Amino acid sequence: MFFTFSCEKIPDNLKDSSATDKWTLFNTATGLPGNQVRGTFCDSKDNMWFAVSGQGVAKFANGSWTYYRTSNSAILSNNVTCIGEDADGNILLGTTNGVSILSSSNTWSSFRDQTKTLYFTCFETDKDGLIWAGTYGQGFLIFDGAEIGQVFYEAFKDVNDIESDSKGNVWVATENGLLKWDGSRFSVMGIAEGLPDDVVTALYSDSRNRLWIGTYFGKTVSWIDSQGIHQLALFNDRIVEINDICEDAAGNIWFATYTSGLIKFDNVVPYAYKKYNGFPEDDVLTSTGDKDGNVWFGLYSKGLSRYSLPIN
Amino acid sequence: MKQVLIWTVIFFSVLMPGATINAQQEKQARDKFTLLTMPYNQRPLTLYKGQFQANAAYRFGVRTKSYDEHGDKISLKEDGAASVVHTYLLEVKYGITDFIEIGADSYFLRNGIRSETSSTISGSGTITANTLNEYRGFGDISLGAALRVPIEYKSWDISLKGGIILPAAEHEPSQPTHIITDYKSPNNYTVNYQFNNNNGSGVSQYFFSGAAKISLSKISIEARGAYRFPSKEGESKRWGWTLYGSTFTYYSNPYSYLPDRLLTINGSIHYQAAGWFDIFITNYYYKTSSGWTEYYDNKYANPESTLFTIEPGFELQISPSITIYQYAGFQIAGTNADAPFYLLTTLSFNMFPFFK
Repeated sequence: MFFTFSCEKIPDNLKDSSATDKWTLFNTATGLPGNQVRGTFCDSKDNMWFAVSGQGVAKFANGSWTYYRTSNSAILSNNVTCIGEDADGNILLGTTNGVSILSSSNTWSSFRDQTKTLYFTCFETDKDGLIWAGTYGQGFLIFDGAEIGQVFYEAFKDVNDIESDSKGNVWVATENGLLKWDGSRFSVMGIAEGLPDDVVTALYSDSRNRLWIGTYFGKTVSWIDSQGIHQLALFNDRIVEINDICEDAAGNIWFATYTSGLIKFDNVVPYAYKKYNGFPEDDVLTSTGDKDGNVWFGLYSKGLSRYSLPIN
Repeated sequence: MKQVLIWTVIFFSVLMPGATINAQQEKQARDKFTLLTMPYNQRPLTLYKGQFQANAAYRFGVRTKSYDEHGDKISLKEDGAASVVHTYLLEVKYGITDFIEIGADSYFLRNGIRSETSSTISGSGTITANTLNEYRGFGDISLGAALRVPIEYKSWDISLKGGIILPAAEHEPSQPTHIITDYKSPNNYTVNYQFNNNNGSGVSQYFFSGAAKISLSKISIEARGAYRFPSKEGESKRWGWTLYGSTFTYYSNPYSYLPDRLLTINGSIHYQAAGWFDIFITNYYYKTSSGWTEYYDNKYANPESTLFTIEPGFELQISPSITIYQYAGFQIAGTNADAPFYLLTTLSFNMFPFFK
């Protein structure tokens, strides 16, 4: 009688658990066009994009690489400085010649300001579909799909990062403080409001509604939640310059730093990955977690490092 | 699940009373003392008609080693992760006829696995982390029925068994109970992680097995193979946490999984040293396969594990109704498996409740 019951069918697409908890390095020896990766981005289709200094952009999808350069595509420049995505799934590539846009149907278009040179540093699409584009020297631009507006304050002309949070606020990290747009007005945060430094370099809104704030000269990183502003001490009681912040699929927060390597915070204890314990180098420019449980780190001179999270 | 319950109710409500009546009518002429004191080498693979058996066992296990994916031995003592496993087992069986036996069993398991203490220099202080993985609770309930060849046992026997393991025990882990101790400053404290796991499998599973036994004078050989497989995939949850000051807040995320299929094969040689004393050595092998667990929206195949164990032991009859079994388990080889040394002691109580 027991054999009348059905048994669960085993799926064919099971992943190999032995491939987890592993570091992989991609560089020119493995086919990457350059060894300095200054931008990493995971799009809504879970494809990974990498800005390789002077070498265009690399896309990693379904285990294979595609490279876009001026020689094989309509990209405006090989100097890609940042990557983003709009609400329609088009990929935005900030270059030193303007913005190249690669649609989901693989057609190229572009945006160039004829009156001035714009050095794009970041893109963020907010909950209303507005595209926020940060620049060095020219404040930030807001594009609603039809028109582009520029927000320029002399004190906040250099924008390092822009992030929208779950409440709909948009945060702008500048060289002179953190701007918060709550939908009706801007407010400013800096040392006086509890940040460790006025030079805000990186922002990340995590899955637990915390906004992480990295600074250039702080001894701590900060996060803001419903209870206020908090500080997390990192290592050796010294200044840690944060280049980028991301979260992995397991909820760990990763800090890419200048000269202090990589720091993982498991929400209790920070752990360092540096040259002395096997990490390729101590200058980590950028970081992004994907939905498959990998975290990608763009390095200053050693290429791209990928960590596949462990499963337990 | 409904179908399983219906079959279970039918199984017990229809067969059991009938068997009881038959046992009383037909067994009264047989000598229950002779049946209860039958040496191992003269016993069939299932109980006699009308015989009731209750087995209470305690298994003391010491986890000092495990095997990795290459079959290399890992010393858990050196890793600071050795632990003791306490398992309490209870089994009841009843012989409906001389050829049909039904039974049920379950267990309670307690195991606390401590990991090596780690220290992290943070800011101007040190954060020390201790981890305890606690497993505590009842296991699922197994219900089964065994059939043997309908002939009187003389020198050989064959039996088949099938059944279901009902997911009666809690499977989802309870909320962790992490605590901070020795708090001196935000960068100087000890964090004690405690994970509270349960022992249920979460879904019903089926099993079937076959056994054969041959006795040649005082020597007997017994072989047994069994296969267990899940009925469906299950849902569970993983806990996450955040530390605010010295207080943890918890959240959980759901995930799906499919328990492993399990193949076990064992063979044993017995020597009936006296009518009341039997010694034996068993080789025990298991292999798991085909299970998976969801991580990060992907399904990962569980690593296949194997383990080969040698179990020397004895059976000692204390009285017509009470027998003691004891054997030790020594792991010889394996892959992806814990390899605890264990000592299992069983107190077996036998009776014919419906004989006068």
